[in-house]
Amino acid sequence: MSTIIQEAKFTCALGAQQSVLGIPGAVPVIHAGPGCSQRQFSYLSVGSGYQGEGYTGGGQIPCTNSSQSEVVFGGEKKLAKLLDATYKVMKGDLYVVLSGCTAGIVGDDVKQVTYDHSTKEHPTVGVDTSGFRGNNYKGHNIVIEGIIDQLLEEAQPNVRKGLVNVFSVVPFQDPYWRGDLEEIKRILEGLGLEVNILFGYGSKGVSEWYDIPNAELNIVLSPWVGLGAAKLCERRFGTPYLHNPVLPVGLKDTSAFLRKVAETLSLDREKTEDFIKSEERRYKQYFVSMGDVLSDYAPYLPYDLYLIDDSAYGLGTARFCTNELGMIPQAFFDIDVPPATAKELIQASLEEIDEAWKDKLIDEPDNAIIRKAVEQRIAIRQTKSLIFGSSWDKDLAERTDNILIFHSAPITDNVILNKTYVGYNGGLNLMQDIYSGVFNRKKVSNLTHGETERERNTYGTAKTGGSN
Amino acid sequence: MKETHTEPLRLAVATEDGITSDVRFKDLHIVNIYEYDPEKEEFIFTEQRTVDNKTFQDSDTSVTNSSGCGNGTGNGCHDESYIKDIIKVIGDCEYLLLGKIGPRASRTLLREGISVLEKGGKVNESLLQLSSYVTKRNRAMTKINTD
Amino acid sequence: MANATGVAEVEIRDTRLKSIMAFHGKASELQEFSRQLKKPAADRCFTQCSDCAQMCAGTVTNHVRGSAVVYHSPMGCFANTPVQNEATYNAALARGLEPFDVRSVCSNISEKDTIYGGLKKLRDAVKLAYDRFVPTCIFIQSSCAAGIVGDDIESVADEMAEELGIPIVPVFCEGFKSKAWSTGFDAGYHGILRKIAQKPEKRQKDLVNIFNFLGTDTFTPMLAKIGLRPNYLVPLADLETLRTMTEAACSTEVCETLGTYITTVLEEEFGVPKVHAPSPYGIKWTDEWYREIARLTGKTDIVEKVIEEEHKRIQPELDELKKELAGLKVYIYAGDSYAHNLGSLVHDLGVEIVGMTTLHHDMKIDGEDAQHSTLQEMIDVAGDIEEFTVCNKQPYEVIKHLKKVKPDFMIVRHMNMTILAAKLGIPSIFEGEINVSAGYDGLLLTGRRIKDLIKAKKILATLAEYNEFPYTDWWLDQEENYI
Repeated sequence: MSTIIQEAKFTCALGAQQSVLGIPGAVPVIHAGPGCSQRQFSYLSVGSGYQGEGYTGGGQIPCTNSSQSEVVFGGEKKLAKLLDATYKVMKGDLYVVLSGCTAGIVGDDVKQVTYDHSTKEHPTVGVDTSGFRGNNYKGHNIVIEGIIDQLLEEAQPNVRKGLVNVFSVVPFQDPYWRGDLEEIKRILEGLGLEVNILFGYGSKGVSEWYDIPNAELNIVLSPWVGLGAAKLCERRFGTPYLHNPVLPVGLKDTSAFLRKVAETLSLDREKTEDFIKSEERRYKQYFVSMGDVLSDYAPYLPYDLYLIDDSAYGLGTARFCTNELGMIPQAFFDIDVPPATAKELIQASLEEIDEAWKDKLIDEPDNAIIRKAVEQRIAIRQTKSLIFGSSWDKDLAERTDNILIFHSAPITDNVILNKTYVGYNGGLNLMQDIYSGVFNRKKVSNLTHGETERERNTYGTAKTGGSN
Repeated sequence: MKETHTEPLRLAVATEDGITSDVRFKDLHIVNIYEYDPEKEEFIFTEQRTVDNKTFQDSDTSVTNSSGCGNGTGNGCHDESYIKDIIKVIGDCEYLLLGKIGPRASRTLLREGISVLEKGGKVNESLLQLSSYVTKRNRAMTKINTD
Repeated sequence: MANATGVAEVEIRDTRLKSIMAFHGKASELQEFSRQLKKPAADRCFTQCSDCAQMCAGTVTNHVRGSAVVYHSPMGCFANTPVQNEATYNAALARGLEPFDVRSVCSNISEKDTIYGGLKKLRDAVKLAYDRFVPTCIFIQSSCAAGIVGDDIESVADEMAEELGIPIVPVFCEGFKSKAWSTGFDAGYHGILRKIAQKPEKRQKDLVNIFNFLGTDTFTPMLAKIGLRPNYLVPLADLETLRTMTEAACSTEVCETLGTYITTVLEEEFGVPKVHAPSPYGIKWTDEWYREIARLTGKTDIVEKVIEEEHKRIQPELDELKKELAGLKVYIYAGDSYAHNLGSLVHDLGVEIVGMTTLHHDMKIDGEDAQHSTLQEMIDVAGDIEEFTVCNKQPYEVIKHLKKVKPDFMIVRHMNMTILAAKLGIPSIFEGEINVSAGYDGLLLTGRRIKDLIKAKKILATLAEYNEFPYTDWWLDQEENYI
C-alpha cells in the first residue's frame, strides 16, 4: 500500500470542513493557514462534481489565516477574536472550529477556546483536524464524534419510538452524497420511521443533532466511518446501534437492509413487507424492461468488474454488480485506508456473495498505482470491462474502450446534483449508466482494444472492417 | 530563505524602550540583536544596531511617464530602497520582531530570508516563546540527523 | 527613540512603501490619503478564508514541461491536483502545444513525521518521482507542516541533486510565512533563479521574456508585428526554455504582482532589462508597452507605424462594441495594479466603472509620485470611482458594495468571487486566464465576452431569487464595511 501518493483519492483531515457544511445551518470556522480551506473546497466541491459553495462554503468560510506570528506565539487569541466577530456576521445554528496543521503542531487548544465561547445562542465546538492526522474520512469521524461529545455533553435521552439516526456516507467526499442520503431517508421513512439523516438538504439541520440522544436506534451504514460515533452514543446515551457495513445498492441488499432494521426495531412485519414489496415491484419492472438490451446485446455487455472506491461505496456496489448483474470480480481497490477490522468485514461480505472475490480486495490509496494494475489486468483478460472510477481513469477507459462510471472523487467531468447510486433508485441509476455505456460510443462492438488486435491477427483486416 | 544553518540563529527586535516591541515598520530605528544559544536553549542579547534615518535615500519618486518602475504602480526599484537599507542592517537575522508591518514589506523581507513576527508587548515574553519554538524545531531536526 | 529632527522628516520617512489591506471610499479619497500619507483604516477582526503562498508558488512550478513536483506536505496541500491537471491540459491545448499531465507526488506527512521529522519520506518521494517520471528537474514544494517542524528541505535537495544528476529545486512557500500570498511567486522564482538559471552565454536580441500564468499564445502575434518573439515563462516551458530567460533582450509580465521580483533580479544580476511600462491592457498602455519594448530592442523605427496601423485595424469593431455596450456598468475585483489595468481596458470600451475592489493597495511615496500612480492614471482616464475598496477577498464586505452600486456585470480576477456576484444576479467575467485580454485584440475580445456575458442575467436572476446568504441582518444593516 503506497504512502507517497501521485493521484489523490482523498484529502487531509481538514477536508471535514465540508462535513460541517453538509449540516444545514452549521458554520465551519477554520483555525489554520491561509490556503487550507480553499484547497479542501477545490478537491471536495469543485473536484467532486462541481458541488459549489452552497450556503456558507467556499470563500465565505471564516478563517484565522494563521501567520508566522501565530505559529510562534500561538493562535488562540486570534481564534477567540475571530469567533466573537463570526457570531456577529454569520448566521448559524452551530459553529464548528476545525484546526489545521499550524494550530495542531503549535499546540493551540481549540477545544478550550470554543468551550469558553460556546453559548446557548451560539453553540460552538472545536476539533483538531490537523492535516497530518489522517485523511478526510478520519476527519469526518473526528468532527461527528466531536459534535456529539461537546454539543450533547449535558444531554439526557428522551427516547422516541421509531426515531433513528443514520451515520453513513461522507458529505462531498462521496460525490453523490446528497442524492444518496435522500434515498436512504426515503426508504427508512417508508418503514414508518422518523429519520435524523443529519446531513444534506433533506435534513432539518442542527436540530437533528440535538435530537440524537432521543433515537431508538443508531444505524451505521458503512464498514467503518461513523462506527465510532455510534459507539459513543451507546456509551453516552445507551442508544443501541445496528452496524450494517453494506451500503445497499439495488434490490437484494436494500430489501435485506430494511428487513434487518425492521427486525431490530420489532416493526410491524406486515407494514414492513408491504413497503418492501411495493418498492421491489416497481424496481423489478424497471429491471425487466432492461431485458431486451440484456438479451439482444448479451455479447456486448461488460462483464469484468473493477472498482476504485472507498470502503462503503465499493462494497455495496461490488455486491450489487456481482449478485444482481452477474459480473465477474477482477479487483476492488479500496482507497480510504480502512482499519484492520473493517478490512475483514469487507472481505467476508464480498465472499459471501461470490467466492471469486477472494484475494481481489486491495488496499491502495494512490490511483496512479491502481490505474497501472487495472490496465495490466485488462490487457491480460482482453474482454469488455466495467470500471467504477473517477476522472483520473477517463483516459484509461477511453484508450482501452471500456465503460467507466464516474463513481468516486475526483470527478471533474460531470456536474452532480441529486443523483444517487444507493438504494433501490441507486441500483436503477447504475444500470441506466452502465448499459448506456454500451451505446454512447462511436460504434457498438463486443471488442475491446485487445480483442480488435487479436481478431485482426486471426482473421485479417477484412473481418474488422478496415482500419481502426 | 536562508540557505545555511552553520551561522547562529539571529533575531532582530524593533524596540524604542528596550522593553516592548510596539514599533511599526515605518518607525524602525533601534533593533536589539539576539542570538540563539542551543545549549542554554534561549536567546542571548548580543548588540544594539540602529537603522539610521539619515542614510535612507530620499526615495526618487518622480516618475517620468505614467509607468515608472514595476508596471505603473510606482513600486519596484526605487520604492524598495527603504527596505533594502533595513536589510543591510539586519540581513544576518532570521526573524524580525516588531509591532506592525504591512504585507508588501514583509514579502520583501521574506525574499531576503527574514521572517516577520508581528507581536507587540513585552520583549522578554516573546523571547521565551520564540526560544521554545526554536528549541522544539531543533530537537526535531536533531532526531532526523541521527536517524 | 523618536527622531529628533522634527515631524516633517518623520512624515516623509513614514510613508515609504505603505501597504494597506482595508479602505472604503472614493478612489480619489484613497489618492488623497496616499498624498497625505495617512493610513485610512484599521485592520479586520473578522476574516474569511484566504489563499496561501504555496498555491501561488504552484502556479509557477507545477506546470514546467518535463519536470516533476514533490509536495512535502500532508494530503490537504495536494488537494488542488485534479483541478490543476485540467487547467494544465487545457492551457497547453489553448497555446497550441502538446498537452501533458501535472506530474506530482505528495510525501503525505503523517503525525509521526511531525514528531520525528519527515526527511526520510521526502527523500523517498523525490526518488519515487525520479523513477516514475524520469523528469528533467524536480521541484520540492514546502508546506506549513514541513516548515513548522523544521524539515531541512534544502539539504535533501542538494543531496539528491548530486545523487540523481538533475536540478532539484527547493521552494520555500509555507502558507503561514507571509500575509501576502504573492510571496509564493517569489518563492517559486527564487528557486528557479538559484538552481536553474545560468549566466547567459549569448544574447537573443529578438527574445522577450513574458512572465505569465497558464496563458494563451497572445504574444506571438503581438510581438511578431515588431519582429520579436515571446519567451513564455514559467508554466508550460521546459527546462531548456527556463535556462534561456537570462539570454532575452528584455522582460515583461502580465501582472506586476507576479513578475516584480524576477524581472528585477534578471535586470540587476543577469543584465536583462525590465520593461518599465505597464502591462498591455487597454489602448494607451498597449501603446506604451510597445514603445518601451521597441526602445529596448532597437525597434523604434517601426513601432509607431505598427501602433497606428493597429489602432486603425481595431477601430471599426471597437466602435460597434462601444455602441452595444453603452450604458453598461461594471464592478472590477482584482489584484492591486491589475484592477487598474482592467479599469483602463473597460474604459476604452465605453463602460462605466461603478466600483472597484483591489486585494490590497500600495500607497505611494509622496504627493508627486501619487500623481503618477496607476490609480491616479486610471482616475484621470476613467473618472473617479465612487465605490472603491481595498480588501483581500472577504465576500462579507464586498457584498455590501455590490448591493449598493448594482453593476450590470463584474470582472473578477480571483477565485470564489464570481459566485458572490451570481448570488446577487450579477454575471461575471472570471479572468482566470489573463493573456487573452492583453493587447489591442484583447480589448476587442473582452468586449465580445461582455456582450455574451449579459445573456446570463436571466438564469442568475433565478439564482438570486432562490439564494439565501449566511450573513446576519445585523451585519448587512451595519454602516461599517468590515469589522
